[in-house]
Amino acid sequence: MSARDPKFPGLGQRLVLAMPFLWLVLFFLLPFALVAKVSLSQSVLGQPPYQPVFDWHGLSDFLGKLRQFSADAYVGLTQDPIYLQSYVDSVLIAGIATIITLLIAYPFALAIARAPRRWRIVLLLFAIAPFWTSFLIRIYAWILLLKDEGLINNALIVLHIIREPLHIFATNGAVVIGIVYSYLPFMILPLYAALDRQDKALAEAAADLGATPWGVFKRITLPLSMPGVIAGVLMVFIPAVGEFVIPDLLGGSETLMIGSTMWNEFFANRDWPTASAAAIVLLVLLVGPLALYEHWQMRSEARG
Amino acid sequence: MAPGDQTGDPIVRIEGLSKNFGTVRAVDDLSLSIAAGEFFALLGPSGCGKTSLLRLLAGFETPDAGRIVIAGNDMTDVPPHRRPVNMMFQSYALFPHMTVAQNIAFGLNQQGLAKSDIAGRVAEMLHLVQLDGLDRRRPDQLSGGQKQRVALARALARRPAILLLDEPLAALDKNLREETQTELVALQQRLKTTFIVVTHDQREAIVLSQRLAVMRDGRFDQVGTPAEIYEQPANRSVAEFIGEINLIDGEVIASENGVQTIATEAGKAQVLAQSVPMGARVALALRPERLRLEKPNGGDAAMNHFLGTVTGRSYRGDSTLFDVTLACGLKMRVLRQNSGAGTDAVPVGATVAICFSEDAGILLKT
Repeated sequence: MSARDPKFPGLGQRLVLAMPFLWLVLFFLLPFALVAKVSLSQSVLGQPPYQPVFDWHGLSDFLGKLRQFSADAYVGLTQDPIYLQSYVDSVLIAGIATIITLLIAYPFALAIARAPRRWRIVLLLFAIAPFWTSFLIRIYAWILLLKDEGLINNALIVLHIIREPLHIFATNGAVVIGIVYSYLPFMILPLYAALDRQDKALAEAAADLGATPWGVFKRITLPLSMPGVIAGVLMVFIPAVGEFVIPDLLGGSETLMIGSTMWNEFFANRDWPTASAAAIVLLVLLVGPLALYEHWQMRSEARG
Repeated sequence: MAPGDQTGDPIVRIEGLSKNFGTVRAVDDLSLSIAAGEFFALLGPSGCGKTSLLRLLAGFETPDAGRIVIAGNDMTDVPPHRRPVNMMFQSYALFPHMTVAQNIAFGLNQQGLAKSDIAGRVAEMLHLVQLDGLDRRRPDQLSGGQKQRVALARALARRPAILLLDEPLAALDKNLREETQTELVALQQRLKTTFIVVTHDQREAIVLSQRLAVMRDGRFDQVGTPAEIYEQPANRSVAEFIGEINLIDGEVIASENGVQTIATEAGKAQVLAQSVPMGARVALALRPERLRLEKPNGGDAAMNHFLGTVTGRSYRGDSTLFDVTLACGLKMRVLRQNSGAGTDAVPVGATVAICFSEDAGILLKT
């Protein structure tokens, strides 16, 4: 192999390295810039329904263009309590759903990781089997299950466990159930990966040194699986906060999640700047914990 | 220690122990007693069941049949965390999220000792394995040899009745391994704890143990002191597994005053051995270092002689190993100490006589 300075990769290497960046620029950074631009304009009745700002016709009058920016949409977010309520409810519903998902997924992942090797792939396939059916159809199916005259209520009444149907459908509880159900595989997979990697001798060593099965779990298995727990929590919590379909289909009039609020703003009120501002704020809210996680991970890596 | 069998009360007694994994019989009806304070080795090739037996003693596996009695208590169905036994793992299994001190203290915390007692014991253990001052390191900041010592300290911290060691030195390089062998023996003699070590390295088993069991296919081929097993192997497979050996098939043609005369394809040989029935098929087992190379007509006429040609030699520094092909086509190996200027070189191609006395070899049933 020829001696090549690793600091100066060749053209081929540069192209390969550039691909993911190009992807991010095209499909993340550019749309993000567009949304940010709309959020800084003012709403008008027209086509498009916002005052064009900072349109690109060369660099002339750069400052003048900057002055066109307006923070009205952001100010509007603080004035109508519906936005704050939406953010709080979204975080609460997503947070509760994430905790429940974690509590259900952990035993699943542990059981799969401890199963005989030839069974693990089959069990993992079962865990992700729901993906073979469309997400939308599965959520519609939950309507049939949860409705007052749905399968679950009918079964409970026939079994004389309840007399009156439980009102689950069209509540925040139904939204939580829908999120837990839909996102369970996203929690199981990173947990399984973390648990499967663990050296089984570690648990044996702890038992050998006098730890009860619960002690082994608390002091060895669980702490060593924390990277998987954090990855799973992020993979469920972040998309769940912005979830639109599940609250729309399973939620009721009380359900106020930011995804639906933005949809209403955008399509019903045709207030693009406010919808865009709400989206930007949501992004900042979600990137915050991610950045914290990155920081925490970097620090623990630096600590060794 | 009396050779062959233990003195004192047995600390471990296993009776008719069996364990199957699927269709494989890993441990096959084993019975054994190990005395308190003994350094015992389980030796055998991989898959012979030695690690399974160790894991049965630790409680990680439950036997399909038989009993395990440790310090007078039946431990057959007792889970690992309630056995007075600690294990040093082959991979060391140090907890990566804990410091060295936390690793060593783990077992002590489970015992519910006072904090100050734990700190004292941790310091004592660190000193015992000569790792003073490394208590705040994490396992990934340690060298292989240091990890091995932490694993040893952690397993000894609870002062177990028995320490189980699963290939304790396999991950160390050769020089460190030999040094650590000596230290391990000294440590065991000082602590008087019963050590049971599993190893596939016959040299290591011989150096470490006071008594060892040679295992094959889930059974004990032979149990005895290192000298017994080296000098008096019970059968062909033990003889071949422990050290290097020449095996020559033959038939007993005369038996007189404890001297057996064997006819082999290489010629007749006389061996001191217990009386064997006339005409019995036997193997004459000769260690390479018990043989001498002489000129075809040289040497003591009273000794056994096989004539042959040197077909290879490998210089080993302190000794030279010769490959000699006998007239009948049989290949033998002779080890010669390079003890000084007096030893004249024997070149490849030279015709030689392999000489050995009556007590140099033993007879094995075939």
